[in-house]
Amino acid sequence: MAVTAAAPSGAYETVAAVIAALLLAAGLMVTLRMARGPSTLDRAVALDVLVAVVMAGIALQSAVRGNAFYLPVLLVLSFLGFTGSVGVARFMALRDEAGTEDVDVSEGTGEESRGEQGTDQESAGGQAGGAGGNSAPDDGPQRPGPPPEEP
Amino acid sequence: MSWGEVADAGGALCMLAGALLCLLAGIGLLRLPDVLSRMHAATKPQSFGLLLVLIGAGLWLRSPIDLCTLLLVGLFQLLTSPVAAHMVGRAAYRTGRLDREGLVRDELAEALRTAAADRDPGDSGENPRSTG
Repeated sequence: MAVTAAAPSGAYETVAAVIAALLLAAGLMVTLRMARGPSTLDRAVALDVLVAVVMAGIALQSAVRGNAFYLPVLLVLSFLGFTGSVGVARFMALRDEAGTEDVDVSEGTGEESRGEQGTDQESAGGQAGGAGGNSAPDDGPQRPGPPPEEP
Repeated sequence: MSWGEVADAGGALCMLAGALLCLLAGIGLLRLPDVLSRMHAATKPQSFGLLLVLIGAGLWLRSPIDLCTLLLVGLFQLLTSPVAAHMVGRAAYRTGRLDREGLVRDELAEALRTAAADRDPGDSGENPRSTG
């Protein structure tokens, strides 16, 4: 490795600087899109491109320096760079399918009907419980009455 | 001119081309109007631009271990970036973030329509939440 660490010098320094400037400009544009993007999917796409640009920058850096210390970082980024956008896309699909018209109507009615049933059951249970004898204000004179009378 | 100089020049050219593709992706992300068309611009540096930069870095490093690592990086990038693009494109289509006038053909709409008609023409037939 020490032999092959022939970091190209001279004119290639300027070439590397130009490449770094191009990558920096690309990263700035992608970051601008990520900040400005109207939807979350735009930001996910911009995140993917930003990961690719950062990987290119790390590859350029390790090529210019002539050491391979950061190549495992490249490997990890190529493994895990896609998980962020996949998760974002997955949750976007689940959330916005509830937001589109057709599914929204069906799911909305379903949830509303469930909610109404739940409230009905709850109110019925409350009434049953009240009729069961826990309603203090109505039956109060009768029920709490015996304990004072018994002693 | 030795082979080392040839490799240096080729590596510089490859990395320059890859950086230009990254810059093109940045410009495309800023200027294109739509999620799907932005994905069209975004997949260029993910596959080809990054492969060019990796080839250039390998031509500058010239060590077998580093070449194997860079080969693995390119392989996994080629394996994983279509997965992310597929998921993002599917979410973009399902959530309707595309202009349908820009589509030349919309085969997925026909497929979804026929699938919904096959499953149940009645009420709760369309359930796009299921796997796909």
